[in-house]
Amino acid sequence: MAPQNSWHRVFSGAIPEIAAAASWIESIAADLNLPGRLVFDMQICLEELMSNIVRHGGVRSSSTAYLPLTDPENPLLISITVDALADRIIVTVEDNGRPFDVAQAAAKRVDQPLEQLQPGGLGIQLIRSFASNLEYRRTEQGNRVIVEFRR
Amino acid sequence: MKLDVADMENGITKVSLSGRLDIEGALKIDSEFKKIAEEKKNVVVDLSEVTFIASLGIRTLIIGAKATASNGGKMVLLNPQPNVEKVLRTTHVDTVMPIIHDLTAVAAVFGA
Repeated sequence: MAPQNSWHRVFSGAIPEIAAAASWIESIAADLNLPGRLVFDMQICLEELMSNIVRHGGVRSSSTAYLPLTDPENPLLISITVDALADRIIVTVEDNGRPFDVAQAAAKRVDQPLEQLQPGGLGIQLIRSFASNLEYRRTEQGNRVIVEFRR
Repeated sequence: MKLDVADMENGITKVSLSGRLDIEGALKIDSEFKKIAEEKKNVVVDLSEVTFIASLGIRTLIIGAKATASNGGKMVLLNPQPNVEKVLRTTHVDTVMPIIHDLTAVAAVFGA
């Protein structure tokens, strides 16, 4: 039997699911014998992407407005696919939430004295810094982010 | 995520964190960490047992550091693990909270 090189799982858009996804990534990394540095990079990016979706994506666009995704028959979902290639790992994160182009969003660092500093908003910078490549595509259902990590 | 508090010499308070300072960890300690920072002046945060930090965890630290600064004090980060330190330096957190690797240097940082 050929070794597994692709994994897929769907998470609901809830905070506890972020830790569940981190554990899932860790078990895949163990199967692939990936170095700890790479596991950390993947977990940082996944945490920031999922955290953005869970905190800000829970609304759906319509022709007139953003509507909350409160319909139990149409909940916020996050679908994650991990593809292991010889030279890199590709993580594809898809959601059905509000459109948000993470590749174009402003990346913030701490750039002011503490007194003027507004806490928060550092996640985009972390994704850009810890991923080797980042792509965004708007889909019919919502968003698709493709993050690559060099092995 | 676990949080322990201990008073050191010279009026310095040591807050030891352990576990993952991810979104769940940050939400768990946010209010207690902020309360300590509001009540104390000089705080050293021992990160040696923190295995992971993300943007929400950094937010917790910055809120605390702002609170100590408004008391005329300072917050210092002690002994982060290499991956955690990389996150802190990537986001330039070290420009507002010194990172140190030697507890004996703490008093000098605070000018105590």
